[in-house]
Amino acid sequence: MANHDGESRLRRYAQVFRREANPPVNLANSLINGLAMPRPAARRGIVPGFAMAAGVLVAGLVIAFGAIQLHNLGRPSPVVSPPVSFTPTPSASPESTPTPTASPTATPSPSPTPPGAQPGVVPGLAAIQMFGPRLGWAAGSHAIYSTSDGTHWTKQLTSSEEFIGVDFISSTTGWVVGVNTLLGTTDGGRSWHQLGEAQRPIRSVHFSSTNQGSGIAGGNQQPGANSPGLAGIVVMTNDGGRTWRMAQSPVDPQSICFTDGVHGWLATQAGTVYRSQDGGQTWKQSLQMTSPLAGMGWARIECAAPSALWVDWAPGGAAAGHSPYVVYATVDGQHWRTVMAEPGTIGNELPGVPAGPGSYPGSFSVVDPADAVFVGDTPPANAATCMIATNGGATLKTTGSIVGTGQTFGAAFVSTSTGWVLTDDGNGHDVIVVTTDGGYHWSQQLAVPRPPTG
Amino acid sequence: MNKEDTLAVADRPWFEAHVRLLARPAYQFSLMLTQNPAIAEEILQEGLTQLWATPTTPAELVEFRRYLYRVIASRATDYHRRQALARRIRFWAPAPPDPMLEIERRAGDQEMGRLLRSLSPRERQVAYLYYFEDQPVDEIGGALGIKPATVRVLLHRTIQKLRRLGPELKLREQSS
Repeated sequence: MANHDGESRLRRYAQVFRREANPPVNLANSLINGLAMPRPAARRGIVPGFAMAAGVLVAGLVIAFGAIQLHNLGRPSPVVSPPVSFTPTPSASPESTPTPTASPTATPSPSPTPPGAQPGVVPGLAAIQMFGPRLGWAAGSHAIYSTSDGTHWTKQLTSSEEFIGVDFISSTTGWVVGVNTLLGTTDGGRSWHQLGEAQRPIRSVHFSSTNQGSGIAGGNQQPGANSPGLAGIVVMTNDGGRTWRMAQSPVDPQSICFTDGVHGWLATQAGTVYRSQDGGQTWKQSLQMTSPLAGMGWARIECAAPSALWVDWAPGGAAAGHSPYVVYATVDGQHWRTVMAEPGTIGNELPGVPAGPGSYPGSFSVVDPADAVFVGDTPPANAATCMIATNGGATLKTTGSIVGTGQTFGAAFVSTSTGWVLTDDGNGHDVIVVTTDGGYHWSQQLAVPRPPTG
Repeated sequence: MNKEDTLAVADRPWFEAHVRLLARPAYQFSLMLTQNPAIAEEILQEGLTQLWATPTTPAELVEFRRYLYRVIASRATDYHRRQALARRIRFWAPAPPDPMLEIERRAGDQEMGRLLRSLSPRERQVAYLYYFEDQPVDEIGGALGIKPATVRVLLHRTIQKLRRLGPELKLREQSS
């Protein structure tokens, strides 16, 4: 059959395809369960439609807001729907005030993938975590920095790697997520050693102990993007990150955290928040957030206690200098509060929900189960505004702004008054700025040159 | 409503058995057509949902598979049509089909993957069912809702195209 070489080759390919193109674990069960649920609007159908609408509107938007300005802002292209007028929403919370459950188990939350990062562009300072008012670590493109007095920062490691996440569970033990590698330290960062990778590149990790950790790997977005996008997986480790195994989870996970080996939370691209109380073996839906624009939503969560969670949900649909976001919080794991929403877009659809501090999702940091600090980005105003949420989100207070910047990449607050924020100085540097009065005043601590964009 | 409720209400116990049997091959068919695992799964889920909601869905396995494949092919074609529109005004880079690249790497034949992707959606449907699932022409026609003669034409065109794209390929013409 010499004449059939090509066919043999094609059939060899087919053989490998049949063997290797494995469907997700428990696909049949998932499909059968899916028959019982109403299907959301198909993302595959809407994304191109969304793009078409953007194409029709892009010319007008460019004229309205200036293509150069938008480009310089380094933000998602706000070209998807007609300009939306700014409509302030009432500041009263629409929901009953939950009883805060203060918990001493709240652990410093890791800094997730920088919210302002563009795909393939990792800032010089992309992630930060403070462990108390003096100890802290920051990481970004090609370097890890640390401080031991909360003021002065020194470079701990120089690398060709681009770091996008930091997670410390003690003054000595922590992890840094790179685009290609995962590093760990047990001596406060004096030495870093490479750990294992999951079957797909790890995008974020969150450890609840020296051995137990979870993370999100894979996804169809480029490394350094602000979310894994679709088709990410949950990975877990029981040996401090040396080995990772894929864990069952709802589809398209975006962000995951565990407060201990048992209690965890997970948010998905579909805008659903799940809760696990058995170490991630099973997940139960806890909250359905606003509907995502097909294929565009992403979520960041920060665990504050086994029953307390804060969620920053961006359903997609950036428009005319506004990128919708909604913040949700629970202090008891049962009752959810819609804390705030982007006022110019989705806020209009959520009457009674207070306006968030910026027109882009920005950064946030959870202080304890009842308190968190949000820094909202407003690129057109070239400022990032600080808002303190207390009492489980029932009370919001806008304080001051970081002027001269329209984007932030991470925040780490150790109290509602003292916190560090990663941003840029509008002059080609990525910087760490700090406040000790709740955001009214800010001072710069470290500046590193912004890496050239690809 | 849980799974048990849903499947019991309609008194179609064969449906779940068919799903379990066909989940993998149908997923692979969908993956070959879309090159995207998430979309492949979604199309499969929607296809099954459509079959579930249709009172006249055949209970017999071969007919069921034919019906399911036709729905998948139709939805995948629709997906490609929308993708083609989106490409004209694309603002972002398309997601890399990493599972497919891994398959090609393991097959040691990235060229074949490239060739298959260069086929039109309909040609890829026919080529997949013929070469990957060894389905006879009549069956392919039934699954795709086209005449067997059309299948032969498409196969011939596919082979010509593959030869043109990869001159070293020597593919057997469909003979019956």
